Amino acid sequence: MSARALCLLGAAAAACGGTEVAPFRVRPERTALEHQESRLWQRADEFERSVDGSALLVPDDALRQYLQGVLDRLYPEFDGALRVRVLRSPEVNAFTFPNGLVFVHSGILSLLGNEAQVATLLGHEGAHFTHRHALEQRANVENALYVAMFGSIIPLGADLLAMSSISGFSKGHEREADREGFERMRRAGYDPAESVATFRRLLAHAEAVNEETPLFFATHPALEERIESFEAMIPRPVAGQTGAAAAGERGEDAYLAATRAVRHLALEEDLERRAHASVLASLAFVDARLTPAEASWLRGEALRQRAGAGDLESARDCFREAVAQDPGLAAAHRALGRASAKLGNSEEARTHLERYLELAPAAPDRAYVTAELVSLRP
Amino acid sequence: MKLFALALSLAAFACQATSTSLVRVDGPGRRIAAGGGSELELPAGWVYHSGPDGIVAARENPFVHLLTFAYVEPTGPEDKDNDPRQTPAELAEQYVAKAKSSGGWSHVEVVSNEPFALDGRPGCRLHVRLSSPEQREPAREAVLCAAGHGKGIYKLSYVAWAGEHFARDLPLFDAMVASLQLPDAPAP
Repeated sequence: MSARALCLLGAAAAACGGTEVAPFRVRPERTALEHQESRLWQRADEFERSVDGSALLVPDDALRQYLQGVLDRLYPEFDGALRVRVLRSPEVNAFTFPNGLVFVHSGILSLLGNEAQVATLLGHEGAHFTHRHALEQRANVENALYVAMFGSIIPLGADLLAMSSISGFSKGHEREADREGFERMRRAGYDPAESVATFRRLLAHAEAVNEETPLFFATHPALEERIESFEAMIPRPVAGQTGAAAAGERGEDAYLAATRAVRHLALEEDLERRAHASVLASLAFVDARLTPAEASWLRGEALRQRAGAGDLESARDCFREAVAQDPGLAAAHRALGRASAKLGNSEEARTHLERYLELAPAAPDRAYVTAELVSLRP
Repeated sequence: MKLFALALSLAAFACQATSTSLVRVDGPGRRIAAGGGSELELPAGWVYHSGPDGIVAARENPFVHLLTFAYVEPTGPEDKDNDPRQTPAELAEQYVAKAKSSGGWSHVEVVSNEPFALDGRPGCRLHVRLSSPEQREPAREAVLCAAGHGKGIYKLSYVAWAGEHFARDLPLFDAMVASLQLPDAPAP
């Protein structure tokens, strides 16, 4: 039986078995958990051990610590019971385990623009833990964890995808998590308006890459409804308060600095997967803090991959810009050389492929480029 | 996905000894028509199934060792993936992208990626290891050789359990690749 089929069975069971439980008010003691909840935590612990240290996580401890700091600021009384991990995955998604472990995909981090926006996301995910939604939907979550433990049969990535897309919380739970998360980010001093900006940004990306429903929204209330409900929660300005003091903190510089490496990784992985629509969308509205030359090169590569009418010529122009902006950017010389060769300008092609090999003498694709130079000889 | 479907059909046929669709290679030197006007030799003793999408061959179990051959022409001007005018580097880029976005494997390690001549035509040879992170060790290894020629792309691949299983039959795959004869055709 497939992971998704098991999960759907679980979801069906959950629909019949939800019960209300009191939220945690402080860090819970494991020994105080009832049997069913304790079992859920144990299975989540086992899964956590199998994921930690694996290639599935982004190996960026500074980023993990930064996000952990945001989470602790949102949930100070939980004293580290909520923990965060960054999954190396292009999916626009995040989800929470019953034991308080929050998984954030690198794909969603690369689309957010400031700390207040990631606080919106983490506030929501943390509320699933504090409000014990896993216990209320235990049949669903147990089945998801059961699927996950079959790692030797089903590749882990598929398990995580299954788990993340069915984390099984009802729309009522999602609305509750939205309200609690919003209240947490507001009380922590973040700009409440950024909660709306978060979802507008994710919606813009989904439309740009023609994705009907990003995973994060798959089990959530309709996105438009969600944006409206966040707008309704934003408090009206208090008379006499103006400017940043009234608005709250956005934390743009800190967020962009902490996530710079993961943003670059996401863009490079998108290029490697030839997800050119995602690259172009990201370059259009996400401040990835790229140098102008890097941005020109990435835009050119995405256009080359798209390969529509006139794209190769536009790509070549981007590559020309890139090498003019940064003559030391080896990848841009290779790209310009190849585009020029395709467009019949052998002289320009030779010049830039040779320059690439000078700048990157140990490049793993040296043999390809050398062969291309041989074929370009007059 | 088409090759996977062929692998499944081969597995089904393997249960039917009387099936006429499954042929055992009875000895060395037997050349077979392989699509797109090409010919090649399969390893002696292996069984193979020849279908419209190409050939799949296995020693015993197609989920342990699987050799495939495919000749694919573009379905139209929009089908860039099967455009024979792609450079060897573009072919390799495409196959790495497909491996990394297939979703079935959480980790794809490119072991080698280099230019390769397929019956004298410029192409690529890609060797990857596929694994899921919690296993820590690769589960499968695969090698793919491809080149554009005439109106389409010629692709040969070998997939096996990683390690000893893969290493054991890699020379047979290399021999199969070396035996490929492409038809005369103008450069794409």
